[in-house]
Amino acid sequence: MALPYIRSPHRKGRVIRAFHISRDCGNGSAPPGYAMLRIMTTTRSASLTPEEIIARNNVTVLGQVDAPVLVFAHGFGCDQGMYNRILPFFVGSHRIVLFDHVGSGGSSLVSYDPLEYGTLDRYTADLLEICDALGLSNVTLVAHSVGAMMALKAAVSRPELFERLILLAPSPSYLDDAAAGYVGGLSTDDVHDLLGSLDDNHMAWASAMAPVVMGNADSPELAGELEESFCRVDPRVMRTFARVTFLSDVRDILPHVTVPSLIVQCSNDALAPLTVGDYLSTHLQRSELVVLAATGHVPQVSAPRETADAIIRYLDSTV
Amino acid sequence: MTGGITIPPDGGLDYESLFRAAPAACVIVAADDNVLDVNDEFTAMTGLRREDVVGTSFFRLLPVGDRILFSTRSRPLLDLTGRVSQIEVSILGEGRVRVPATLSASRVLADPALNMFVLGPRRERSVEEAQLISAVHRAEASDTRRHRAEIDFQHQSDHDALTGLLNRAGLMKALQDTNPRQDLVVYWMGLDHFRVINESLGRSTGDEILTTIARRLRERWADDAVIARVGGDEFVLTSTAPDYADHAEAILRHIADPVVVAGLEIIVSASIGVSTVASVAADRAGPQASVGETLLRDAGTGMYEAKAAGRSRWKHFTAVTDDSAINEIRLLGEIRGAITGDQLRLEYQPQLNLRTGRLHGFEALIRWDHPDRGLIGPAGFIDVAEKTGLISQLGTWACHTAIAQATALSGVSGASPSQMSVNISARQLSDSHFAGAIESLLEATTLEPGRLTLELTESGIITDGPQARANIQRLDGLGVRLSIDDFGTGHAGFAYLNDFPIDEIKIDRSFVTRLGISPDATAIVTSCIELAHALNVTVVAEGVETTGQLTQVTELGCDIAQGFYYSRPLSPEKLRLWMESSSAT
Repeated sequence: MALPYIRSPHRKGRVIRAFHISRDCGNGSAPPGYAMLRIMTTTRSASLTPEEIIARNNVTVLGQVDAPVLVFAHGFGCDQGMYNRILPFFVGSHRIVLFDHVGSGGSSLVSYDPLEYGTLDRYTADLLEICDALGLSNVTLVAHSVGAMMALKAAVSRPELFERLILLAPSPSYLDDAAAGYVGGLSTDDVHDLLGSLDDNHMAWASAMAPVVMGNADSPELAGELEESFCRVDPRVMRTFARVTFLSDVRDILPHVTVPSLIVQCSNDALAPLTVGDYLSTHLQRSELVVLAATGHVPQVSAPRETADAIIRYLDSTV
Repeated sequence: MTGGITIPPDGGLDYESLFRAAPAACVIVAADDNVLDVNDEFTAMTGLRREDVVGTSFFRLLPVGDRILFSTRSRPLLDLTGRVSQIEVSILGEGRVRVPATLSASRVLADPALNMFVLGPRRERSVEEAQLISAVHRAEASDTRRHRAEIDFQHQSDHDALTGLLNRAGLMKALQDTNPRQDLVVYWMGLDHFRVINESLGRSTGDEILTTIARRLRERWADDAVIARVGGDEFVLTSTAPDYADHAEAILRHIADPVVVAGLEIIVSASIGVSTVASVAADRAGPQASVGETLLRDAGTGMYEAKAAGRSRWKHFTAVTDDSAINEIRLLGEIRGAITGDQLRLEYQPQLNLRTGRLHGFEALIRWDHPDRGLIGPAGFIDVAEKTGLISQLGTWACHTAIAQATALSGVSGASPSQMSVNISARQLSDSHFAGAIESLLEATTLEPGRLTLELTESGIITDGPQARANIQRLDGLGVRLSIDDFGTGHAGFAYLNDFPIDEIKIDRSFVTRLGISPDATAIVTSCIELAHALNVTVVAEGVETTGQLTQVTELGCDIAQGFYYSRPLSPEKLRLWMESSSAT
């Protein structure tokens, strides 16, 4: 069976992620190896049912039933679509779980509370809830940018849940800490400058959100340009998420991470100097560091093959 | 074919010239983001020369905020979808001047792949847009303030105001949060004879010592331990560090390091009880108690053991020495002996009426002259007495003695009538015989019931058993004044002030101490006073120790002040002398 099906039972009017996957694979139909999965739910969160958690985080499950589990956590700036280009490398061999952080992509915006989601903790709790809602175990967690910070926190609080972490363009703190001799790459002034850039784009994002708010996301005449419908962001969420991303500091938990990890860095990442990768590999026990030839901050998009190869090599070497 | 111009069949238009002269600023960028070419409109718009730009990374043309946003969002979107449009950026032009621009980009399927960026002028933000964005900022700031207030409130209810350590409630939370690890160790520290310091050198000296000890514990252990102040002179430290004997010794040394206050070198010793998960028999504390609670209780018992063994030492609580109850039973026996053996006495702390500048009354404070341990304040034994019926006997004794003293004072010729305040525990208040006992005591004397003030605790009131309510109503019917002690430190709302016939509140010394230092404390005191006065309730400020504090509580509208500034607690003999000297002036 080869179908791109997916998807949480969800609000109507949602863009179905399968569309993007198949589009990226070039022929508009389902790529081979996609299996229809029924989302099996086993445990209940204290307050939400597994179905509600799946809807809240717009969880997508792809790939092979009873195969090793890869969970993908996206970073700042977009949503789970950022992983589209590397999925074809794993969909035939793994069970793949994708999701949007609350406030991003197709997540439930009504669940977003700027105070609750004002620190990494709630994002981390959501990530763990998703794993529990799907009854996952022996998870390999692939996490990009701020998602990597969440992954590290999740691994400290539930080490038994994770087999490995694969951290893409990670940083334990984007801010410099002169007192500790740590170079994160950014200053608080830089973060304020970023907030100014977000303001400059506020109106454009707000108007791109309008079709979603109006519940007409599937109507092309309202949804507008592809990139707008593809990776919508709520401008207010962006401000808060930017603070969480660029002001959080998880350096203190690194010694407590016992789950093995692969650190994947890009050669020229505006957001994470190479020294950050060295810092992580020094402070994370059982970690490996690989520096890609790829440039930029999102290697899974700019160099999907090289990124996937690095991940596959690591998966194979740590079976 | 029109106008005589022929497009060559091989498409040989002069694209170079077209690009150079295009009426939009264009940048051709390689896949690695290096700039390959720019056109004339770009150099005109930015003031940059072509040779300055070509070969450098496009990211270098962006200010840091735009660079972050571009690399996290726009650039990957361009890769994923082939184009992005209408992104608001600034370009760093000649002299690093920011040139506002709107950027659109598309991927060109050449070999190798290229990206074409087109920059146009940026529209000014309209007034409405600016207002909307500033409204978002304001909403954000107000959310942040609200959040911070909530955190502060949570922090206050979990922390000790004096030392900043966790309080008992905070400690219980911390212990409940974690499923205790097998190597968890609890150290319960009681300072030896600390009350003597408070009484001989004053509370502020005592407080300074407490904060110093708290700081030392924090500096040495905070990294891997939970530290709390759980009583006036008791601290708890929980840690998973191995070698508890070494740590207990180290704690003893850290506490015993001299503290210098106002030129005096003071050395305090501590008795420490140590309990470990290994020594806790899971069921001993009953099915309701968590491992954490049991550990705490065992460590507390261990501390009593250490005190009994001569102080300034530590004891590891074990099930053999345990019989948890034994120590409490021993203490209870001693309390019983104290009641019958004349070891208990009351001291009386004068209260100043801030409206008249004259004596308002006294608070009776219980003291125990222990034959071995010296002077013990109520904190050392009321808790244990409270657990058993003994508190009723103690309470009755205290009421009887205080009423007798008040009657004697009211008989002193020339003395203006004054109040006598007595502390009543929660357990007493829920004792069905309590109001009746007070009534009998009053009937046996000539003291007007209105001269007697009973100080209740918030917890005594809030528990609000029907019996407590009946007692309160009956006492109010007698005309006895009712006061709330340590007002503001409990977790209760203030609604009960309306529900019960309360005549007076006593603002806790922790707020008075921080007046003028902490705006929060000032705000809390101000609102307590306003609330109380609105309900026709008198306000007493406790712990007034300095002229500054006296001025402040007076200015804030407190009715009565109590504290070392006016007078320490006095024995009956000293009280007589004090009254003579103050009526003489």
